[in-house]
Amino acid sequence: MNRWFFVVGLLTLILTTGCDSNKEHESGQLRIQFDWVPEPEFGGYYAAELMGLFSARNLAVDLRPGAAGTPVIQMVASGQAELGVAGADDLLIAKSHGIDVVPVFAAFHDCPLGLMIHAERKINGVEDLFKNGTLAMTPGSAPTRFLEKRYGYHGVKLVPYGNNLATFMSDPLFGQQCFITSEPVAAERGGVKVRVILFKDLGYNPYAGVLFTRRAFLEKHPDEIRTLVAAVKEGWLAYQSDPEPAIARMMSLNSTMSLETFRTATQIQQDYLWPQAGGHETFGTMEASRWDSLSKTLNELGMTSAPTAIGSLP
Amino acid sequence: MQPTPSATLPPAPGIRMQNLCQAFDGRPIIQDLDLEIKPGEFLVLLGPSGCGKSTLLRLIAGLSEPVSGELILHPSDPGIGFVFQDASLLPWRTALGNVLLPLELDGVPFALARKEALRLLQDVGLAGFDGHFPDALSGGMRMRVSIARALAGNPRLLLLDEPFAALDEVTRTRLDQHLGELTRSRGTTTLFVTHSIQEALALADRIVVLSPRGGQVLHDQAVPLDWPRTASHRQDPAWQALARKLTECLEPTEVNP
Amino acid sequence: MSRSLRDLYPPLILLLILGLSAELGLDLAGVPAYLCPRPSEVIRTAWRHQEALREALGRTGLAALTGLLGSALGGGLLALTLSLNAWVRKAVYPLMVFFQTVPIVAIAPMMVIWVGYGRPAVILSALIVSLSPIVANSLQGLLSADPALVDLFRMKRASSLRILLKLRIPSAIPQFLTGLRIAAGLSVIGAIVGEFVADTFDGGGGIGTLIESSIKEQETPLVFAALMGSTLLGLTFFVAVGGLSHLALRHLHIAETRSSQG
Repeated sequence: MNRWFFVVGLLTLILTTGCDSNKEHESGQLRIQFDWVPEPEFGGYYAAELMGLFSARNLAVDLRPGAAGTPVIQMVASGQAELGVAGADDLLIAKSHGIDVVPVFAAFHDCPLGLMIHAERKINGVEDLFKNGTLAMTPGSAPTRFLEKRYGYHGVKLVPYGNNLATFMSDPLFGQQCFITSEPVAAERGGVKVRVILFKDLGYNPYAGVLFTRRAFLEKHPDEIRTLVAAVKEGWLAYQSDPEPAIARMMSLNSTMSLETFRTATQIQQDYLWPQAGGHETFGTMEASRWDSLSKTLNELGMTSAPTAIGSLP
Repeated sequence: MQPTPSATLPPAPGIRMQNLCQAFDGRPIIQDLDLEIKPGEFLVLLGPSGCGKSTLLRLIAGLSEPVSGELILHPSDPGIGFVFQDASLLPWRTALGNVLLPLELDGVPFALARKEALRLLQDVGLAGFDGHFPDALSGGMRMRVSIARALAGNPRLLLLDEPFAALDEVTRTRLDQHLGELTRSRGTTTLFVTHSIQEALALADRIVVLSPRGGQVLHDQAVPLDWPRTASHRQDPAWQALARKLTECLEPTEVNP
Repeated sequence: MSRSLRDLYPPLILLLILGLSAELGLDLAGVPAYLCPRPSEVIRTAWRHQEALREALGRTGLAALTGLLGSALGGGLLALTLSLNAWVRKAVYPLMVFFQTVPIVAIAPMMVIWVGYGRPAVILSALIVSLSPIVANSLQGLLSADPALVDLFRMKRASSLRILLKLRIPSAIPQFLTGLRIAAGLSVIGAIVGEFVADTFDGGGGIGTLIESSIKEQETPLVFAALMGSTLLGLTFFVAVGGLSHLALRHLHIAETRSSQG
């Protein structure tokens, strides 16, 4: 039910924002708004907090879990948080709507999103997925538009993506979008062999888990942000070498996920976190060319009014 | 008005009650009631609210079974007309349609039923109002329709449960007058419940005062007044003497329940 | 109908005042457009996307109407069945309360399992949401027929069926219509929730899908325009059923019952 929550979230935001959208963080606190509950995709942040990497740098960081429909970008833009975590595509779309956000760190170098289908399903090529059966996708999302443009939905039944695996499990011709760390694991645990076709392998690969702030804030506090990014990066590296303490911390905040799920997801996401070729030092950095090509793609999909240049950490 | 000649009708019933008891949820309403009503008699049951008058009418109408005792109607199935406290008309039916209802339920052929219903509406003074819906009729007119409905099918026993209590004094007096004429011309056995002494005297051949609890006969009063009884008769000494007597009879029951 | 036209003025004037103050207030307070679009922008967007909105509202409206008709028929029949037997009533009523209190969002995913994705699931969602006010009100109407009239029928030894047909059903019409009026608005909500969860949108979706996709596209004015459209749809349903019920009751000469919810 993300939609109601989103609208309610927006309205709450309007009521609580008041006049000044660029309200300063008087206490000097850096609030980081996540778009979901504490999960391995935020592992680096919790590791940094736990290890005192923020306080060692004199940063007062407040990690704020999100929920379904949390309007993260709007919250950062309106001063309800200083930073947030979102997908690169969403940031570019926001930018084209006049919300001046700046990405500063990309936790996921490769997009962990894809299509999950039954492993035994016989297809000659990806295009077969769009000719029959059922596909659960988020209406209006960039990947949905991308697949429509690239393959066209010819004969496949499009249904809304939800957090319910029951239909997938019972229908061999059912496919759905997925987080590589989440639904495929659950489906396999439920006894269904699955195959995941990643969006990045189909030509759609936005950065994911992008830490961003609003431009006005960045311009006032460039050093603070730079220091924060360094701490976050260190946190992520720590999470990679020993995730257990942060997992314990996240589990105390999110009791719906089992230890095993935390561990599996942590393991799977490793492959997406930084470029395989690069070393640790490239972790979290972004290439302007990838932003540019994503911007072009989104514009071609009609999701932005013009190719949008997005600045980055100066 | 052309009342139906009583000669063509089946005989009016007499009613005999002996040791009649009725209770609800173990609470006695009527206890050991002995009462006899003669065929064609107009009997008024007088008493405060809650003395079991309505319960008694429902027992006689066969709408509930007594706990014990005897209740005999002779003849046993006289055809019963019932007039309720409210007109209780079907709002989606015209005056005619409402009077037709009991005839429909009795399975009377439509043409015949319609003829009778129209005549009854005429009898109660509503000629020409047959096409009117209840929401277009005054309270008094609605009650007249209700009386016509109760008379449909020529019941020989008529039961009326404070039918005019909600009406204004003038309308009420006029309806009392009219009802008295109708029942007498038909020779119907009539039981009329009220707590108005004046109304009782205007209508009754005999008045029975029931005790406030237990529904027993406190007082049994014949009313030897001439018929018809118009408003002016209320000044007669005989009328006033009876009224005083009944008031005395009722009063202690009101202060000492 | 001039009376009901005059009744429209106060809310319209209030709406105009609210819209204008929102327009000015949002500007004065400096609330950025991406948080809350100006009413004028919402109206412009609605105008620009009128075809998409009309099409989506048409789909949603049709599903809601079908669901409403289904619950009117099904709810009416269920109320009839329940009115006949106190034991059945006692047995079924807790289930009715379940239907009334269970959030449709919670059972919507189950509907996908029952009837699969597509319009039937959307219609079912509208039906489930609008069912209980119809059953509850109709049942109350059926049971609260004038007891004096019930006695009259019983004195004539009329069968239960006859009492039902000639007395209870007509007596229950005002309450049935009151239930229908409440259900009308709910059926629209039910259809939209159904679309969120269970619709197919490869051939273009309903207003629920439009809301969802415009959120993803961050087209906030379109989100608000779609919300405005669904509100109008609900209102249209409510007014239409209200008008029909007014006409029906006038035809039957039954005084209208006003419900606090309706």
